[in-house]
Amino acid sequence: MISEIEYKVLSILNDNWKNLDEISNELNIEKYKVLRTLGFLKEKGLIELREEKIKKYELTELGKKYLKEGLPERRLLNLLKERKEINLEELNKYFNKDELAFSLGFLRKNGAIKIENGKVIYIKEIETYEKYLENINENTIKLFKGRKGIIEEKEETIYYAKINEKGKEILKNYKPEEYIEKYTKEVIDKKIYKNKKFRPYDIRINIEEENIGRYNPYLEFLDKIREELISMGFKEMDKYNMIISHFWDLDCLFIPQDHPAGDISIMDAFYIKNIQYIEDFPKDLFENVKKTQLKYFKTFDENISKRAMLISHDTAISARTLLNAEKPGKYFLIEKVFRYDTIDAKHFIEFNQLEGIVLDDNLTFLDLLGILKELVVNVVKAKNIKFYPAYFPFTEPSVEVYAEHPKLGWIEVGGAGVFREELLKQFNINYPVLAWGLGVDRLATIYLNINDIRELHTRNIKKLQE
Amino acid sequence: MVVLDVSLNELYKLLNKKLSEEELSEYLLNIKCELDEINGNNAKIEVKDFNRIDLYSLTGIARELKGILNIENGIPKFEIKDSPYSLIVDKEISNVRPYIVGAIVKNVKLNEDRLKDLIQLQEKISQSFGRNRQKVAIGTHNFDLIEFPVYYKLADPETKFIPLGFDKELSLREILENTEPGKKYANILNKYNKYPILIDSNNNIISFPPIINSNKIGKLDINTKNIFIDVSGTDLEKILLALNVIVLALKDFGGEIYSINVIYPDKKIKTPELKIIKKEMDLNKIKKYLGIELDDKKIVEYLNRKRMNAKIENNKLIIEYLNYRDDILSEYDIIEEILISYGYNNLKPREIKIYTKGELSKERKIINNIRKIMVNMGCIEIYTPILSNKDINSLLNEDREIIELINPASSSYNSIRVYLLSSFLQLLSENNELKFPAKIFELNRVSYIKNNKIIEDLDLLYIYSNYEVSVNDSLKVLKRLFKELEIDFDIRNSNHKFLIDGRQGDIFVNNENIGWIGEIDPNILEKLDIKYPLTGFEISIKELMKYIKYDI
Repeated sequence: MISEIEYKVLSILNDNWKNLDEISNELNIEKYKVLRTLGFLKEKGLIELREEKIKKYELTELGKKYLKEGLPERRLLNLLKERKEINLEELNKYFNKDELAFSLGFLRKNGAIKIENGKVIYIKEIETYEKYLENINENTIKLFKGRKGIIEEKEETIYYAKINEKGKEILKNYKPEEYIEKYTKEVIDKKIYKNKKFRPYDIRINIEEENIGRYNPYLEFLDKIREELISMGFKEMDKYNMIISHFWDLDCLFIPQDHPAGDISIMDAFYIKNIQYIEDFPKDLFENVKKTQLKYFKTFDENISKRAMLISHDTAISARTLLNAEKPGKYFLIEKVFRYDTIDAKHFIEFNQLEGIVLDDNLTFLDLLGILKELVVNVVKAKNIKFYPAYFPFTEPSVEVYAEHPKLGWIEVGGAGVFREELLKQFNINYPVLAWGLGVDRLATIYLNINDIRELHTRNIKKLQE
Repeated sequence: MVVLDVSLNELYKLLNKKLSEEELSEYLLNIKCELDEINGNNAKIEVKDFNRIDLYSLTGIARELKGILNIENGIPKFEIKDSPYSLIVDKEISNVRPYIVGAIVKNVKLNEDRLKDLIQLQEKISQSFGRNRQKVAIGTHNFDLIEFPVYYKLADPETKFIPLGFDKELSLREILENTEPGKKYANILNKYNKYPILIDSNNNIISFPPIINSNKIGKLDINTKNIFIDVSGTDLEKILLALNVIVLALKDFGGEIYSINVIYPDKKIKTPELKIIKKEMDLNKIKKYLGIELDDKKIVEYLNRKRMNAKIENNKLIIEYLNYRDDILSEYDIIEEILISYGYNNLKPREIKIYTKGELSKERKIINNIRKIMVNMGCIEIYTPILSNKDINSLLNEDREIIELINPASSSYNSIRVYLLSSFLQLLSENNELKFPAKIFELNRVSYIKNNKIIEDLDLLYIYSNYEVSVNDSLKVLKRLFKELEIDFDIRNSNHKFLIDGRQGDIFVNNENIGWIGEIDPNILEKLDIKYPLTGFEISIKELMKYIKYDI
């Protein structure tokens, strides 16, 4: 049994060898399709197929350029013809080293120039060989022997086919009208299938898979964490901004304005050139914070507080949420923060943080540890957890959380604490607020099995498509 | 970050006990320090608590560990003897660097490791706590070479002396201009025309605070026994605290502390003011928020191990501690001390019983709904950085002002994108790989300035690429999206410079322009070396949200 295209190819073959180009031209079918068909026909034993390897010469990109613009010796000779003599040093500007060395040698050998006291002097016009590049033949190869990078040798396979006796037999008995080729609506409407058979396909044929729509794997990971938090009863905070004041990012969190950057990583922030100040806070809160800062740190500069910056940690949004949070209340957020850093496989300047707060009367540090344990089980997927004392300017007591990850062993997964009373007082809150933050990017790299943190952002679209 | 180089021999000598690496690492974590690495006798220890400058020395670390290890409890022992020596502060200096305090510690037993530790302690305090010597700078000098009283006063910039590490005299001006410490800290003194010096009664300059000591008096070696310390700065409380930490460290190196009289034009103080601080705390509050049941005796015992004395009287907890620390503000600070002493890992985490309804924000629900529609249409979701290259941003920008960073980490990320298309083009110009047909989208943040106001928006970008593209390829996706969202829109002619003329439009909802649609101009693509025909649209989701009948 042969297909329509196999029939077409077979029908133009005869007892003489025909090459692939001829067949393709005659049928007006692309070469690769013809070649594939020839393969099938050979497998079915209907044709003879033979390959011949031949050497072929082609111009390289440089060769093509020389053909168009002239060989370097031609350009040099033209230049000298016009100027009569030129300093060698000056020529270095117009030609690269190898081109110049060859051209000088060639022209001198053929008596077109001479070199005296560092000067190149024109003598006479001679023939250069670019016209031989138009059609590469044996003579061209001889002339350019030893000059690299102008002509390249390539090997090409030429295919020849001829029909055999079995092929002729099949061809004789082939009746295209007996088969349905394409399964069309017409086949249904006119009930053609009642009288004819469908032509069989080779259904093992190799074709590309269908394209797919797909969520970004990293965002999908973050969505999963959000689902976990929702199931734990946390509400997503809705007061995020990328650009916020120094006030929200640092001052209202009991961090002294004059603390040297570099000590506390959240102070390695990006500041904005075009907009210096931003007033995104309530006036009475601002006054409270100012009072607190003056009381405990003795200095407070209103202009520093109003400086516009890129949010450097999501605790700033937890603080904002305190403004009208419910009690009891549980809130969380996963959002981008920005920190100045040297970019490498372990550090990028934008990353997501998972941040949360819990508000209620009578909460204690042990409740915080309870939440952290639940988080580690649900989000980090680890069973064992360890706690160590920590320091954050905005919490007391503070804790650092380590989890025993199934793949990596003990890793630091986050920090937490009870918001300082001094901080809460600024918001007129007189009950405990537990606060915690987990680094989700580290977990994402484990989950997605990547080694370079920069790859959490898309770097290769094709990879996502495949 | 404060990272110390510590001699383990000295540390174990002070502790009277050797620890294994695991033990040391574990105990350090319990005093908010982290063992970064061990190299023979040397350990790198990170001190994480910025309020505990006493931990910037192995003596401080040992003091704290002794409590945790139950080797020594309660307030560390100390004694201060009076001395007849004075430090006289000139009236003029109050405008430049107003405060100075000092002390003498005699019979200190130094060695290489201890000397290194002392110098490190001074450096770390003046760097972090002292705000790079602006607020606090410390000098230690050879007491035996000084003729008291010592004067702290202003001097002419041409005043000369031999600074530490030099072999010839330099003027104060030359020190600021030509020496490394001078250049590093010149900003502290630049605006003044006279500079502070510390000078003794023989007219020998001891130091040039806060820049550098003298090469003779201000040079300590392992044979120095008697040390004069000065701490100068702009904040009296801070310099007093720093002095307390230094004298205690020297005391732990075997020294005896002597006070000196610091005579200001208007007052006289005796320093160091190392003393016991007594505070009354609300015991009920502590017990309420402690979370664990502890009897009074245990509370006292746990505080003892944090180098405090404590007693309970009439429901008050009276605590006493030495003022090498000043970080006890309220009951919560005491709660932390008790819990650390009890051991965080001995605490039983409590399952929290607050029943609240978990919910995504309204914005997130809408974002997720739109993402779902796009994925259902067979699109691939990409996620690109918010920061992008300003030049690429400028190629697209028309009426928006690009937000630029003052201190970018790299030119690839020196501004915030005005369109998601900027980030997409940047991505494609950095990694030119696509498979045809490509249906791509991103829903993410953009920001820019318009009419002097910062706008933060969420945009949806759709891009289609194939051997042959047309604006219709984008339009049909847009139409489906709006049909799913049940929102009407119309398209009007536009003339964006990054889209092909006559094959582009603006998208309007309710007469508001919410975005563009069109074919990307190949002239733009050429500049970025992108070799794919592209069509797409980008719309503002924040604008769209107003019309979304949301009830998910």
